[in-house]
Amino acid sequence: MPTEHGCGAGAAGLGRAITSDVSSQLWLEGLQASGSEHERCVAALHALLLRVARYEVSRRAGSLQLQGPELEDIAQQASDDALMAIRSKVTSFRGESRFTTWAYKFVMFEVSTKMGRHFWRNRPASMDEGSWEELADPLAVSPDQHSEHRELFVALRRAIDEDLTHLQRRVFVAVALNGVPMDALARELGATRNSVYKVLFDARRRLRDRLRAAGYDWHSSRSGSA
Amino acid sequence: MNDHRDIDELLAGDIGDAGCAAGFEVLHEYVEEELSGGEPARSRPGLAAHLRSCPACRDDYRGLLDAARRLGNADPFTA
Repeated sequence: MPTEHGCGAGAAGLGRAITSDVSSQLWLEGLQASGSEHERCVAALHALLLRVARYEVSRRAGSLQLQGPELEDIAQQASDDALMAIRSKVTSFRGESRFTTWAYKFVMFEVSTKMGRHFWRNRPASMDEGSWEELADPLAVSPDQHSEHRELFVALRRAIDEDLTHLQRRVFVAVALNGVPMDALARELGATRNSVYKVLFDARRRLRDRLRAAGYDWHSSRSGSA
Repeated sequence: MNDHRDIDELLAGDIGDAGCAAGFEVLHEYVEEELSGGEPARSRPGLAAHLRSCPACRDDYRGLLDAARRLGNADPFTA
């Protein structure tokens, strides 16, 4: 779709991306232009990314016990790094979504990563270790369900102790039980989110298998591979 | 531990889970389809399965959905 007021090179010079909306085309033209048109477009994009980052950091702040200047630092860093990623990858954008939706994805990634870095400042390191004794009395269930649930969770505790590798136990306890953000744990382990998730996935599957083999059943009956 | 978690959530796992890296590659398409009134959970079951099981990617998805809904139509002249 032709644009009415493109800022720079024009659609003919863009080539690859196929977009059906005017806004996306304007972003692409501006980012691939040169001179002042390009600079204006980059500045506008950064301002928008910062706005998104501030909102997202604020949305997540409560659960991570972060506040004040720390949040603004995270938002600034996240928008800076998201902009860098977008500029380096813009030629790979194929117009499968609006440009902004694609671009905001990088803000989400950077906010997650930055907040993961800050997570441990306000937390005991033991959160990713063996601190899960509360598991024996875990859930808000009705009195008639309590005995059954307690038995199930005692079996789960045993399975965590006996069936998981050290790394699987550490990841499962931290993420599934203690709510440690996966990006925070990934940073602790020097790993990626994807690799931490794979460990978590395998740990969960092993626990499900153990519980089923012991005769326990619950609603979820699915299993597979990540 | 969060008392609201139940056993399903603790042990969540699904057939065809796409994983974090593969899911990230198409997350914007998933969100866009949802905002367009489509059913991305049907067209992209691997990512839908992943979002049910991965708290980190689920958080990114929620944030992206919200941002795209609020600011999806911004352009260089109105941003």
